[in-house]
Amino acid sequence: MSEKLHISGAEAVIRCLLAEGVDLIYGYPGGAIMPVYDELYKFQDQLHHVLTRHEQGATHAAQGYARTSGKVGVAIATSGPGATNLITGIADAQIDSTPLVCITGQVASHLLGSDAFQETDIIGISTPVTKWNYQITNAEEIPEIMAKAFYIARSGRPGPVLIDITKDAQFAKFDYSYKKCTGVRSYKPVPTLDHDQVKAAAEAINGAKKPLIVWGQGVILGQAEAAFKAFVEKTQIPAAWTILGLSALETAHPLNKGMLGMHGNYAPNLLTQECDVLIAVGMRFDDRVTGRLDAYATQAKVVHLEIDPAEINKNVYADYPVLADCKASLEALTPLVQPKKLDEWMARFDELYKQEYEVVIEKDLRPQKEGLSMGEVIVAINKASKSDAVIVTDVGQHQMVACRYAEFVRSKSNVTSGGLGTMGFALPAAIGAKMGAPDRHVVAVIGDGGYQMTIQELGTIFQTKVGVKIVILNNDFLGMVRQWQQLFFEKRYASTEMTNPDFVAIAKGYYIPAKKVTAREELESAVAEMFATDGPYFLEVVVEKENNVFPMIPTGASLTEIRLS
Amino acid sequence: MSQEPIRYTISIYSENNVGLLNRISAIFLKRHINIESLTTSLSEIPDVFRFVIVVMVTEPQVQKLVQQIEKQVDVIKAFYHTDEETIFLETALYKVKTSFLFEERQIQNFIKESHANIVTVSPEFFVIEKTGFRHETDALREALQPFGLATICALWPYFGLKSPHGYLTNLKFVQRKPNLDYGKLFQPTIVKRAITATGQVPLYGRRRICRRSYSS
Ligand SMILES: Cc1cc2nc3c(=O)[nH]c(=O)nc-3n(C[C@H](O)[C@H](O)[C@H](O)COP(=O)(O)OP(=O)(O)OC[C@H]3O[C@@H](n4cnc5c(N)ncnc54)[C@H](O)[C@@H]3O)c2cc1C
Ligand SMILES: Cc1ncc(C[n+]2csc(CCOP(=O)(O)OP(=O)(O)O)c2C)c(N)n1
Ligand SMILES: [Mg+2]
Repeated sequence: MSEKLHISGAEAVIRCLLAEGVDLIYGYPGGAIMPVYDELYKFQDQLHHVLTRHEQGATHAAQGYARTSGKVGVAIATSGPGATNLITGIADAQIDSTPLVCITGQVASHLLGSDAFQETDIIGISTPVTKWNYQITNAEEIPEIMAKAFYIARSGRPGPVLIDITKDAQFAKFDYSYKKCTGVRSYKPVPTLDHDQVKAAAEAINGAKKPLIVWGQGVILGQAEAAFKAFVEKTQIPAAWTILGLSALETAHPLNKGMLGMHGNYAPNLLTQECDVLIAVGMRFDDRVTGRLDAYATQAKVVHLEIDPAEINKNVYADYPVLADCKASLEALTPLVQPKKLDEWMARFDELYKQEYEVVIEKDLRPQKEGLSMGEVIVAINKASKSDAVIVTDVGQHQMVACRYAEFVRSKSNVTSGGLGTMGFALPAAIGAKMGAPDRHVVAVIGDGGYQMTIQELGTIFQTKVGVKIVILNNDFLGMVRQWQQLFFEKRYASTEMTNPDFVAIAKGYYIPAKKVTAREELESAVAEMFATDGPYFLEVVVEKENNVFPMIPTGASLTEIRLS
Repeated sequence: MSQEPIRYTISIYSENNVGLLNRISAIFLKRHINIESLTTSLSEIPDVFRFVIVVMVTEPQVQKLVQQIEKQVDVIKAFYHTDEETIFLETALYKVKTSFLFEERQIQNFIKESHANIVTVSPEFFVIEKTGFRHETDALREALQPFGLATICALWPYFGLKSPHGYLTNLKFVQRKPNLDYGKLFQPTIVKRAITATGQVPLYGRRRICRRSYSS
């Protein structure tokens, strides 16, 4: 763009956002960011601002938006407490590679370092949890830095960027012009594909007798779903997912063998320990996935398709690293691999699935107990949504159950806090997720504990009328912690039982249609009614208080030690 | 790969931006790794900044540190080296009471034998400067100790690599390509000496191993 405008730094911020195609931001005003809010008022027909009820909610909403839309989420806050309230969401976005641009106001530059009112060193505080951050003290820097912020946030392995703008820089006028950022000399976001690496990986795969594919969020972040499916279907190799990779390949696909890790499926976990070639695509071998590292897949040769060089050999040694955007590496790899006949190997998956079904799944989905199970609720959601809802989960037992049993037919449908495990994530993230995918059903599945961490965002839902369906799985416990107390601390339930409020009354206080289900017979119709209702809806389901999530790999144990009960 | 912690020198080429030092030191903090010494300076390339950081870690650790450092947006390239691959000289300044210079003849001999220089003399004290390898600066310190060595003022370190090529001649920004063998990417070489702003590093404190720092 060659337009030259003489405008304030604050107006420049808005124009930069518009130039980046942003039409929706989340935030909370305050003194040090008021000039920008004043411009937001003027630009409100082009740039919609959602007032969350807490700055943490703004970052989580921006994350949810980014996860379903694939675009950069934007959150904005004032200095001091506004800025520090963003941190949990930024840290969550950093570990889960979510592209965010966060903008904070800062005290005027001549006051920096003077302990001025609401001054906080947000650059220092956010440094370890951002991909990049920068403090602007001069309005003229705004266009270039904003362009750089968006470029860095979305390119390569995405992540959060924080831009702190002093108040004087927001007021100062300057000649504005915007140029998109196309590169930063010290930063190479996407490694160039090395065909020798591809060839070596293809040979290893072609030689495999018992191969296993493990995929993660990189497939979604790289928009490589089609390339991934083509690879899986051509090779006919069984594939299993991390919870952040979930939904990249539809649940019903015959080669989709389920969930990896601590609460994942029996077959893919045990067979990780038996496979001869492990093909990792866009996943980072998190310890929830690997269990004890020195016992993880030691028999296997590892092929690792990764975009971030720092992930290669970080946790698991890669015999065949392929550094590139996995869309490119998969597209290069697929023509070089041969289809396999793996009948015996496949039979092992079926056999172990059967064992898991008998001991765990049957009980979870068709319980004999009077109380409802979390699994039944997820099944009801699958049914009512034809397995095509976006499921946003919080952290805890309900999260694991939802990931295990939710069914998907489309990518970008599972939104959860994986690496940080942030309770309170789901409600605000669901707001963003719905705004990022307005034509889809978005269901937030939340525990009674985590719900109360960001329950104030009901106000945002009420005000924006965003059609989020909220399902609280109420076990009157911090269930996941209680489970650990039961299994590893001899049932000493220290501070995990909760006396809960009347959740329905609270939702109704925000004028959100609400219902509570306590009996099995009511469940299906209540879920159907929830989907049939336009706009937001609140459904509390009272579930068994002391159910446990299985299978389980205790922390520090190897995958082989996976327990079914 | 060695699992024993040994001394590694990490050199980092980067942009010169506010806050980058924080970002880099945070990588060590996050892993609970103590930095033995850290120097920042201009590098031999105009416009490019350089950090030299010394740590006691294992080789897998230093590789991961280098990977994480190089991942930072403002970092252009990072390398690690063992002591065998590097040379360093240091300049030490020794402060001695002036009266000793005349009363204790040996002092003048030490200065001569060790090829040290007197850089300043005042009625109260004089300062001797010695540039050399660590064992040489150590020897002079020990020699002066009995004669009322007041303080060691400062340490100017020089760091370079032993091999023969231009360290960064290959470092074209556009070609920066992630390569797993970071330390060995380019043939390392001796870099021209440049004194950097190291600040006042006390030479002889409690923990001798911490006292080195380097620059190109
Ligand atoms: C209570 C709780 C329990 C959990 N239990 C489990 C569990 O049982 N199983 C489980 O799987 N997880 C579990 N998790 C989540 C776990 O902590 C991790 O967040 C998750 O396993 C990470 O998945 P990932 O590696 O796919 O995603 P990420 O952490 O997002 O990593 C993605 C990887 O892909 C790479 N990448 C990004 N873009 C591309 C691209 N374009 N091309 C190639 N590579 C790319 C990135 O560099 C990165 O290495 C649990 C979390 C909680 C809170
Ligand atoms: C902010 C935060 N604090 C603490 C934890 C530790 N934690 C993990 S799961 C969990 C219990 C969650 O309880 P609830 O939301 O009711 O879900 P449930 O496990 O009962 O389904 C806790 C306390 C966390 N993940 N996040
Ligand atoms: Mg609970």
